[in-house]
Amino acid sequence: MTSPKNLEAVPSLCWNCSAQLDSPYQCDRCVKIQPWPNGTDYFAFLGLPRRLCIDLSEIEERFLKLSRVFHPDFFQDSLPEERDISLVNAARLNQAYDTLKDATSRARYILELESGAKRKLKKTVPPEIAAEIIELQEILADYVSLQENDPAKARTKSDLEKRHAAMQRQYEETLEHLDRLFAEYDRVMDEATSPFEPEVRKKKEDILDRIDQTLATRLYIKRMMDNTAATLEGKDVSLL
Amino acid sequence: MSVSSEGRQIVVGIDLGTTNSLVAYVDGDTPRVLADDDGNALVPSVVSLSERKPAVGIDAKKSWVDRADTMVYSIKRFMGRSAEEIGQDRRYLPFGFDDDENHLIHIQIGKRTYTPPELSAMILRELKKRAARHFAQPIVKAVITVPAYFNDTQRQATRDAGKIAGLDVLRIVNEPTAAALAYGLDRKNKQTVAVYDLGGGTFDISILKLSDGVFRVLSTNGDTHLGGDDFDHRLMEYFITKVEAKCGQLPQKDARTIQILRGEAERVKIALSKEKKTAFSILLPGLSPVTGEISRSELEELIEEIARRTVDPCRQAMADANLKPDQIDAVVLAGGSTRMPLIRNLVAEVFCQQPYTELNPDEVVALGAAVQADILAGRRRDTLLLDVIPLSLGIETIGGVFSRLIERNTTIPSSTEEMFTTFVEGQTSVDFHVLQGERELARDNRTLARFKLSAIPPMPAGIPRIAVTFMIDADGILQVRARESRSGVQQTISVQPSSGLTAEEVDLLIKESFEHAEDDFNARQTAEAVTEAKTIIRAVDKSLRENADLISEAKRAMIAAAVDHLRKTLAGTDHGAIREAIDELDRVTRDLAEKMVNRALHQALKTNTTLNATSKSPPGGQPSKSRP
Repeated sequence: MTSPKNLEAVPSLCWNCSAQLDSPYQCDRCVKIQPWPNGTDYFAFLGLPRRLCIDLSEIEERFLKLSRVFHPDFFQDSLPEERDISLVNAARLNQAYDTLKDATSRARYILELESGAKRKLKKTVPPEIAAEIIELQEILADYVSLQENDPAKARTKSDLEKRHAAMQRQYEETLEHLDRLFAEYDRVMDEATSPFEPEVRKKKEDILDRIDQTLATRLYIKRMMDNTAATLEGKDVSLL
Repeated sequence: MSVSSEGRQIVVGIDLGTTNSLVAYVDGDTPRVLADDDGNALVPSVVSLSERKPAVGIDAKKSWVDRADTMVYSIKRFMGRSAEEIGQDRRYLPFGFDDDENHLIHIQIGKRTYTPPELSAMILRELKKRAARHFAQPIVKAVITVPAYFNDTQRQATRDAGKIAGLDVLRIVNEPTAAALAYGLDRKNKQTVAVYDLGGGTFDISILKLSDGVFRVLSTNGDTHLGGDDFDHRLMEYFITKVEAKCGQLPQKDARTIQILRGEAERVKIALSKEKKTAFSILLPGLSPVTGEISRSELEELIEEIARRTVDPCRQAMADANLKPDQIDAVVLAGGSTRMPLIRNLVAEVFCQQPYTELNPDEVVALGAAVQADILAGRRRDTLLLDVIPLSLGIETIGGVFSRLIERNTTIPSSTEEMFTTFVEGQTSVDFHVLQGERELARDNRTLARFKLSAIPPMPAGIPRIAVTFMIDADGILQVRARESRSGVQQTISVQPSSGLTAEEVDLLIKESFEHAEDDFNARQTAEAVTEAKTIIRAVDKSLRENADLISEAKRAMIAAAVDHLRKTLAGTDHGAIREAIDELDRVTRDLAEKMVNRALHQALKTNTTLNATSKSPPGGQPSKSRP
């Protein structure tokens, strides 16, 4: 994957008038919008550094600015080529924004870019919460089987509510944990003279692995919370 | 053709409503609705299909009871719907449905049946006529609004209606989004807005973020079969029980009775938005009159359960946008039903704030449609709408599971690709079933299209790599491509959901409509040419009388012949012939016109008056037009 720095170094020409492009988005000479350059990832296209910690308002600002450049509504009467570019770029821009604005999907996207291929998110239950999951499943099953007038029902309900609140805290902690890992990752990348140095690579892989694990934990906690909430609302849910 | 006097394209915005419809345009920078000569902007979405005198709008509504059996309305509730989806509605309507045909709704009036797009097209044609009159030229391009929660079939039905009416539908825009455009046009500050849109037949809730002219929809939800009509039905039931109590028998179930009950229900409902109580009186044929009084709280008791059905979609939309009520800066109301105090209280309760009520809820959607029309006409670059798809899109995978490729509330345009493979050893073709909806099983969602990817070389199960790409454009039209990457075989289809009409039927209806449109257009052209010709003949006669000495006898004879010829063409309806005769007269009088100008000039100099005299129209009307 090409880094944004390398991309900027490659001079490209306008598809319409062949003028040299100063901006990857639009030709200065003939004002035609330009196709999304091959191999450009979402970060590069939005002109953002490939970092995990990003200011959300900055992502949004870039997204809105580029939406104004590319949106098909502005190209109703343009050349078919320009209409196609507008459609493809606007669609990818929307996808880019969706992917980058959310911390979890941003992390997954970086994992993908770094491993070069679509890396499956860890599917196995993280060992540190396995016991918790089994316990919760039993309580939820109990709750469903209890009669409304059974005093145990109310007790179980308040227990579940407490657990839900605890999970909510846990869930927020994973985000803080992710933040720390993101910062660490960004620091390693900033300090490295070459990303291909064996030591840097090892460090990088290690952090990405921990991010991966944290993301899996997050996913499971989220599911437990959703199931608990749904069960308390009286919905029938298939447990995990 | 559709170029206005400034050489600009006219694109109008149309709100095709369940109860009322409107057409609007942007005048300079301000969106405006177009009213009729009496100042009515609303065109009742009512069609009277009497064989003697079919009518649309106010004219149709006039014979509400007299021609009850020719009356069709609430057509929007049946757009893109199958017979079993109409449910209870038929009990409260004066017209019948013909369910014989496979699942499609046909509305029966007299001996004929009509499809909902055909009937909607009649209303659209009325709006088109209104706009054409206003701009004194035919209108062909339009933006039409639909409920945000309309599915693809319902949207396609609306598109078809536009086509049948002879309109080039540039865009189908979601109603709450349009309302937000109208609300936020002059507001440049960043804010989050909810639009609560409860019309005659449909309910939508959309949450948008406004920042510096960009209107981004965060989430949308709704119910396409919930609105003022349902409140009317409850009131009709209430009246029926009153009639039964007083007269000891149920009223007849004929068109006339239904119209009387519905008319009174609508009137009472509207009155109770202003008054605390109102009198009602029901005069049914063959029964003694039933009168009484109903209070607002009695009405609210009847309809509260229905009104509460809007609460869950609101909560879901907030959850999808990841927002709490206190993060919403304003709640904008659209749709006539939001005038009801019960609804306003409900909105205040759900969003923990008083709704914004400064805008006319009947007009706000049409005004927003006009703004989007202005953008698409290329006249406005400071405003941009980023809308979403209301329902998830995906394909059926093994075991009848619905596998989503594009989630609901995804900003459009959007594209996505996912890899699939085969399940059976040596499988050489794969059937794709494209669906729309939120349910887990394919069979619970709505089918959009089916297609087959064939000629895959035989391979063990799980080895083929089939990339399925969904591309949805700014218009919400989906294109699906499936490609097996090992062999390179591929199949692309553009998903064109059926509206209930086949392509051939739509084409036939379009053809009929264009033929009529041609008639209308010709008639107007002829009328204009005749008026112009008469003016010119008068001017030429006068000039000849006053200035005959300026030209030769032969020239005078030529002019007389040209006038004579023009008079003859006026008897026919061929506006082309009239125009030619006008041009000919113009040509033969040119000489006279010049001499008259000179004479006037000399006289002016002689009498020392101003040169204004030369600006008097020379004979021939508008010679400047044909001269280079």
